[in-house]
Amino acid sequence: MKVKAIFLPLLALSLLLVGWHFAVVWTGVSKFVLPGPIAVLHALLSDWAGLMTAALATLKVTLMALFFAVLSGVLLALMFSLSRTFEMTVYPFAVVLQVTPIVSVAPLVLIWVGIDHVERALVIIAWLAAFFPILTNMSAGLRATDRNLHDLFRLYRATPWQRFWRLSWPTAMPYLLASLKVSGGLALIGAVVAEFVAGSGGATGLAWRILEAGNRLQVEKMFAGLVLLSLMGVMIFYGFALVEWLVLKRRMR
Amino acid sequence: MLSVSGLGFSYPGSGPVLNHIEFSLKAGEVVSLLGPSGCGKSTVLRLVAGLMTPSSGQIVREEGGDHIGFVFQEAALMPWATVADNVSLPLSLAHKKDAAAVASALEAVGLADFASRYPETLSGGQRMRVSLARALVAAPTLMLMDEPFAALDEILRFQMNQLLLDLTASKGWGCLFVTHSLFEAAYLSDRVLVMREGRIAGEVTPGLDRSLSPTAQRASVPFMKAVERIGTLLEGGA
Repeated sequence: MKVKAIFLPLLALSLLLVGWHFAVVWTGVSKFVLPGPIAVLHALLSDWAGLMTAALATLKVTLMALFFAVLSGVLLALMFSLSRTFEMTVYPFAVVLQVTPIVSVAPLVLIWVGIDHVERALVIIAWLAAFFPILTNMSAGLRATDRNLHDLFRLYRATPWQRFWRLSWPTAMPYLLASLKVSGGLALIGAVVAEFVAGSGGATGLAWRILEAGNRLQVEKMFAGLVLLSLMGVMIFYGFALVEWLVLKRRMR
Repeated sequence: MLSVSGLGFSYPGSGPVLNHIEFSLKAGEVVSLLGPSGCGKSTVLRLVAGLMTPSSGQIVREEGGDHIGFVFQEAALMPWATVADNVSLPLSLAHKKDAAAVASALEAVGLADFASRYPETLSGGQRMRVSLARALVAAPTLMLMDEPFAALDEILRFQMNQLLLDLTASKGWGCLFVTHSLFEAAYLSDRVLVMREGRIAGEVTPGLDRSLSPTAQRASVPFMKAVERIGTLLEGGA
């Protein structure tokens, strides 16, 4: 089963690449519209150092945004679990942050923060994208404690700290880990959107490289950038899936 | 060791859930609270445990009767903790460590070899045994059980009934047992308190001969008579 799960997607990818290659060769489509996979690979290798520098810049923004999203999401969820009044007051604002299209907020953030510190603005925009799933999942996790266990902790006179650390936190952990898989991808999307909006204003990430290549009609370079972004997204997703598995697997022993 | 008098309970803005409940429980005795769903039997248990505050009446526990064991209908184990860590919960919350007590509690429920396992890997019956071990690790003088075997199949339920009787005899605790099974109540209990609509409708004393085998006890005349009497009380008879 595991072999199949790895083998089948790789087979599909290989078929796709071969099909793509022959479609480009047979139809004679212009390389300014659709370059073949070999041209994309060439673009990837010829500008490897530059693309990797850009990829690392985007990854840095993504991970920093994710770090702050976890920090703020978990802290806010904790405060929600302590005070229903606080939750009722603040939660609608969190929803507003979530439902407002990030592309429309990004220019404002860039004006407020990005003129002198463009990276800070990028992190804030990516954070906006990543924060909400962590908040909602963590809140749900903290509320999901077994009612009987909760009673048992009361019966044995557990302190509030013991209730949190030995009951609420471990209950919420699978919820937090699941949200990381979602928010990791969202942080990357946020970082890319932020770089697009920032344009040439000092952004050095992959999105900026794609934009720059587009302006020069280097479509194969655009594809090379896209490939790296997809790889990064996949790595982030499966990275957190691995963390989730490592943390939760011992419960199945 | 436990004396309940004039106990009443109602939720704010609604009618009474419990009305003038009175009973007592002695050490080494199993008393069952039996009744249809919603009659208030679990509420009595939660009030006795101190998880809820009565609206009226008194619950007096004997001096030194501070150690309470509580077993719920679900095993209510922590999936992130090993069997041993689950069992030691009452001790560790009190900042105590007693590996020998944990081992002996597991031994008592027949799970000595399962200490390092996680709950997900256990069967329903084994989980319930862990739950029972957790309740008895702190050497309770009062054992409260809220339909603990309701989710188990009949064969497992018979085994757990026997285990509970053996443990009650050896540990000497008083056990207040909530159930909606007439047969379980008749078999386990020294006394059965039949509840209807928040009141105790009557008391039945099965008086089984414990020297007989479990099957023989369940086929005996006193057992049948107890079941019949409980059934009559449940139907509204006197």
